[in-house]
Amino acid sequence: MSKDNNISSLDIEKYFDGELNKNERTRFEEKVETDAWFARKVRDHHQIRKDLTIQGNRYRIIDDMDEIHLKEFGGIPYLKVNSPEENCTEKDSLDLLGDKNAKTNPFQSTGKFVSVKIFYTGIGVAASLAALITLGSVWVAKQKEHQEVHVNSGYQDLVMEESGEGKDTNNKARKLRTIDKSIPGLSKTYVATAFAIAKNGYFITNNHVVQDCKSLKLKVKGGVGGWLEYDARVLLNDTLTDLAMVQIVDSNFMELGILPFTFSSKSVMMGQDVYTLGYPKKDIVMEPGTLSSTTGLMGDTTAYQLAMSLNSGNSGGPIFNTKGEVVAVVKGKHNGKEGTGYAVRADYMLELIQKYEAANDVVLKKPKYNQIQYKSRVKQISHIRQFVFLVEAEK
Amino acid sequence: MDRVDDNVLVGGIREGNNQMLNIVYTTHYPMIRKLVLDNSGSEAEAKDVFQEAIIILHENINTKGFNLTCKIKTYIYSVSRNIWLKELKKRLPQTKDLNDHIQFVDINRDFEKHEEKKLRLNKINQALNEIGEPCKSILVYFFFNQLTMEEIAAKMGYTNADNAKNQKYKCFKRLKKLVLK
Repeated sequence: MSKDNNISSLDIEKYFDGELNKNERTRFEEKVETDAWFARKVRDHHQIRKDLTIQGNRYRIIDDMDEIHLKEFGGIPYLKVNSPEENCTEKDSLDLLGDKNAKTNPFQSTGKFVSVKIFYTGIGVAASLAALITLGSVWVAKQKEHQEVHVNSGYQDLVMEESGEGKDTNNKARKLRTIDKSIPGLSKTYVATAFAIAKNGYFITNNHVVQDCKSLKLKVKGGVGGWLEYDARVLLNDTLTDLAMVQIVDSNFMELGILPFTFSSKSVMMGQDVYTLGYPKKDIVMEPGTLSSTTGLMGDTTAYQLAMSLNSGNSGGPIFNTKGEVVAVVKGKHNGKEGTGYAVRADYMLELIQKYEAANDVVLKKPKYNQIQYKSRVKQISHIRQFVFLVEAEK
Repeated sequence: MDRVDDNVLVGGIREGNNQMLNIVYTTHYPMIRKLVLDNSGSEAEAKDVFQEAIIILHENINTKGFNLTCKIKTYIYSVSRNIWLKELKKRLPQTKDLNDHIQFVDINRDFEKHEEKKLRLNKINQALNEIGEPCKSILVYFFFNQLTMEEIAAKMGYTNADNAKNQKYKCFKRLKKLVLK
């Protein structure tokens, strides 16, 4: 039996990989025959290998099924809000905020499954938007502080302004809103990006996107070629980092599915590949890039600099690393310098969330597991895109 | 959609034909969605229940000696029903049965096997989450993504495939320890 001692437990894996030579293999198999304890170890080992393969296959099937589901039955699984403790915490948080203006509390819904509101966008809307974009002069920094600091530095927010003219003819919803307002001519709609941070309707975007807005809407493509549209409001903002937390307050909104991505507060290394999803046009757009500096404009330590071609409408978009973790939030770009973007580090976003949680004594349902870490970028995006919303802020 | 014969579907799924999976998925999802929504479930839960049932069907079809003794529709319905009933009982112990009117068959044997497997796979997932890097990535690349050791070496920055292999042997040993503990 002394020759058996040469077989170590590392050899079991080698055996199954076919890495043992003929001589070793014979000895290995002899040992299995004669040594019951070793045979058991080999069996356990084999079972784990088999299970790993099964698990891998399952992930692949689930991927395929998710793709089918997204295509055939729409992206977002809307959950019924029916668990009582959930209702209470949310209700409390709203009360604590002391917001008397919240028109409807979505969490007081009847608990019945309500079909989602779908706005079919006609070609007319798309066409009018295209016309608006060509009008140019869309770079307006609404935020005073920003203007003071950045006015001479070429810094530019990436919120897209929709001019007040021309849009009413095409969109019924807008027409109604214009009638609602006392001085319709003075209001402007700004378009940007927001992304979900918890499945029950909490989002992050830029402060400059939502600051001083009269009304706020979050939209995402859903249903069959239509848009799902929800009323939202600002919960918390931070002018220093230019981040804001917003919440959907719409009785038609139920809940998003579990977020497939997580947030990373770890510093990103210079040269890392990243990408963002956002709405520089009336459809979601992926933009790849590289982290080019670990500080932002004029040594701003709250931000990263990105080599990425960003446009108005990208503001508030999440920056993902190759693992599909949110590492930053787009906030602006350097006007005139091609491909120089700025994004707020995710630590500050997490700080803002913590601040909200502490102030309101709630814990948001943030995602725990990154489900897309080992997926290709294409697959990652197909999972992420349903959590990245278009923001429409009327100011 | 034209009705496709069950045997064709089973054959297609066995060969890994995604077109067939697509047909099975789209034809049967509305039925399970209704079952779950009618029985205090949500849209997302319906999707999870249904996908788990399809996984069971898929794995069984690919098991040697498995014969579908009823229609695919009945099989999927029976499995989904079992999954959701079990989940409801876990939440509300007083749950007795589901409120439905579609015929189902007894698939308890397949289901029990599936539950055992589920426990084992959960342990593996948990171990993979505990094992840390670089082991997690190496094992996932090798077993899930089925990359070659050369590709893994390149991705992980090892100088050659042999170094990656040695690392993998060590990682597997650690994983095994975690799974069997």
